[in-house]
Amino acid sequence: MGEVIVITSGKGGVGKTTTTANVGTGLSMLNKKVVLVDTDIGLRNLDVVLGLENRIVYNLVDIVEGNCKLKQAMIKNKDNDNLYLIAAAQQRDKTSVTPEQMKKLTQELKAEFDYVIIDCPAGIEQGFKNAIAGADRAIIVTTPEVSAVRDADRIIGLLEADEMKQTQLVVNRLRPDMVKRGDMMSADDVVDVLRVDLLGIVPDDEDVVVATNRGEPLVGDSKSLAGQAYMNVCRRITGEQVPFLDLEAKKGLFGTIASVFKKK
Amino acid sequence: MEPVMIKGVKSGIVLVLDSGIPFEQLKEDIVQKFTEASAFLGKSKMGLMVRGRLLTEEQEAEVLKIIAAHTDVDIVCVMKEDGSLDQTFEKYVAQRKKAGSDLPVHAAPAVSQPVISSAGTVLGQAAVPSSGNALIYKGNVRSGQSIRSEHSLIILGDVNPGGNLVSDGSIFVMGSLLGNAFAGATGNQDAFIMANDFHPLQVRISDAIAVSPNEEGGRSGKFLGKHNRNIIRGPEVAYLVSGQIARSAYTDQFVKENHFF
Repeated sequence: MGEVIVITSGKGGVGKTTTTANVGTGLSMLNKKVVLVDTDIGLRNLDVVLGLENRIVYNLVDIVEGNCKLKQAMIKNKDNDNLYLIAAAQQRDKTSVTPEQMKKLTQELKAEFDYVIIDCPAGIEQGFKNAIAGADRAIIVTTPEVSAVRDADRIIGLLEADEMKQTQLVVNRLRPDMVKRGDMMSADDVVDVLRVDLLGIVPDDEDVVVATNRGEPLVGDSKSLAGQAYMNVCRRITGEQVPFLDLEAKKGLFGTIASVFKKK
Repeated sequence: MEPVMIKGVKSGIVLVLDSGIPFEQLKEDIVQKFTEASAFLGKSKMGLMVRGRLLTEEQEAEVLKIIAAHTDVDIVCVMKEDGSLDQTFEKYVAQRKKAGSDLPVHAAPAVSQPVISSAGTVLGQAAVPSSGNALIYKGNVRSGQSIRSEHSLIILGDVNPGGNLVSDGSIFVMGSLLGNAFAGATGNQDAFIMANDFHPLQVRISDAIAVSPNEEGGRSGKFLGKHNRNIIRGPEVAYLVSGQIARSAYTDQFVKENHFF
């Protein structure tokens, strides 16, 4: 019996979809059988981030409406047999699916996969309610901005009211240099307010944009700090104890050289 | 009791002066106190409130001169309390008598917080707002959540920005208060609000409302108002003083002087 994890944030643009893609890919690289479900009906883009847009035939709405079999809507990843995607419908809206239908669907998926990862849309309306309906645990993604943290706080409140068993936090797009200058909240500042367990800190990294545009998540890429951070998140999800990355380490030419030598 | 005391609040300095000593004598102490506190007060724009005695125009000017000479603080306004400490005492004692209480008047309230004692106007009555009952809430009150109680409210957790507390009695937050708190919602003037870490967005007591100052101080403080290094650390209380919301450190003195319990 697998686990259903919803990835949510409240605010848009903080990196839910990127995190979903990277966590999903990373877990599959750790030899877990993973299915990703995009619940952002009408504004789907998880398929784009994964580079699977051209393979979509059936989608989430087709499944719940019985237009296809579950298997038919599961798109196998390009180069990883452990990873599947169920895409969102583009032509419909969030009311096309109900929380009950989501519960039923995730139950079925759970039986077959180690992890069912749900990409939640921004907001707290129907789409959010659908996304969290069948989830066993939640990962909150936030950036170190007051607005994102405020929304994350609201979301955590709603999850608590919904009796979510476990809620963990990923602080995304952190810029260590800005934190050092005192111009950005640190991960500790964020945890201080939200009071939930920290699952990972992902630094702001240009490579993420490049990887997203290319449709290949950068998780596990040893050249990228963000890629390593995402891999650590995945390992923590599986229950492994992994120390937090030293985000300062890769500063300056000398630091880069030093870290290359350290790895060897 | 020291003849001169300085207390810092977030946006101002409260200077407490003994009314029984000639001003010329006090001046030396004032110089010494401000010299000591100079580093502590830092360099900012602040208001000044003089308590304990009434100063003449000239004396006030002298105090300002001393502050300018011995600290980097820029005093932008001076607030005066109406009435001297003596008058406050008189009022206090008179009301005590009126209330028919034959309890001995409490030892003279310390000079440091004379206004608080004037809040003891209802001494004879049950001064504790709904003390018999309280709603105890365990957990964090998060953005968008609201807790309403007809009784006093005790929160075992944090109240985050955007969280709301409304109580007909008093409010106690055993954690950080970063959101909004409304005590005495049905008009109780004696309700007060206490928090271990007191940085609310907005505080309301009865009809009065206070908005948090836009803090420009500590750098990390500007994000959430939480880490701002204001001068009072630890628990603080907000209460009504002649229709205005005042805040001060929560000390045993506060409890003693207020007779809430």
